[in-house]
Amino acid sequence: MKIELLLFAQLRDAFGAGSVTLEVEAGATVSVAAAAAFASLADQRYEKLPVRFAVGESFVDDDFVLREGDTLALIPPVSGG
Amino acid sequence: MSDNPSPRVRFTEEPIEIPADVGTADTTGRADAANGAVVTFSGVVRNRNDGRDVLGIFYECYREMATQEATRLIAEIEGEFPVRVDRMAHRVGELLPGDVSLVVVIRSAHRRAAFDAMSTFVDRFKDRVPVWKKERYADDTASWL
Repeated sequence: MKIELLLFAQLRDAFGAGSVTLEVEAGATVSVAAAAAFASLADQRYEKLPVRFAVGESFVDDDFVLREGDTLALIPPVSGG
Repeated sequence: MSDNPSPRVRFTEEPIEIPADVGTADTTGRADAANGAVVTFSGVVRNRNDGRDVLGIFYECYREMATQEATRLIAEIEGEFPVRVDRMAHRVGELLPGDVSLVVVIRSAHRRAAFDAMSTFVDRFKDRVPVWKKERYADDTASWL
């Protein structure tokens, strides 16, 4: 199934885009989807970033199960203020 | 991208500041005589960080979620403290040292609750509202913090 991945800050730079479409297995969790996305990067150091996940503009746990067409935001450590 | 129409939560490219009439008028412009304390917070871009000279900061946000998360945070703070979070605004885009990046205004009947609520609000904002900054340094480098 296809999901949309939203990317910000250093992850936007790493992926070279603010959003990408990702093909994942049906029933994939957000952490599985993120791992697949990170595996596509040449630079493996991003896998170690303490990324949080958001679906539908709310934070979700690592084991949240995605559905076709979901938008998953990868939230690197925030630094507002 | 347009700004959130709600006057209480804004993420904006435009300069932000504490309104001159903040002591006497709430976000609706009405006098607010029920609250005896108004605490304001301004976050300002520093010219040094971690021993390095900072030339500027680029702020970006996930605007839809930042607006929702800040709105949830306001409800949370108002549930935990006897206060009203009058408004908050965060700049996005390119800022220079001395520019105001964050403004928060909290009202309460008495000052202690407003001070405590402000401290908690800013701590939680910095922990979870999706805003990021990239600092530019005098040595021609830059990094996301």
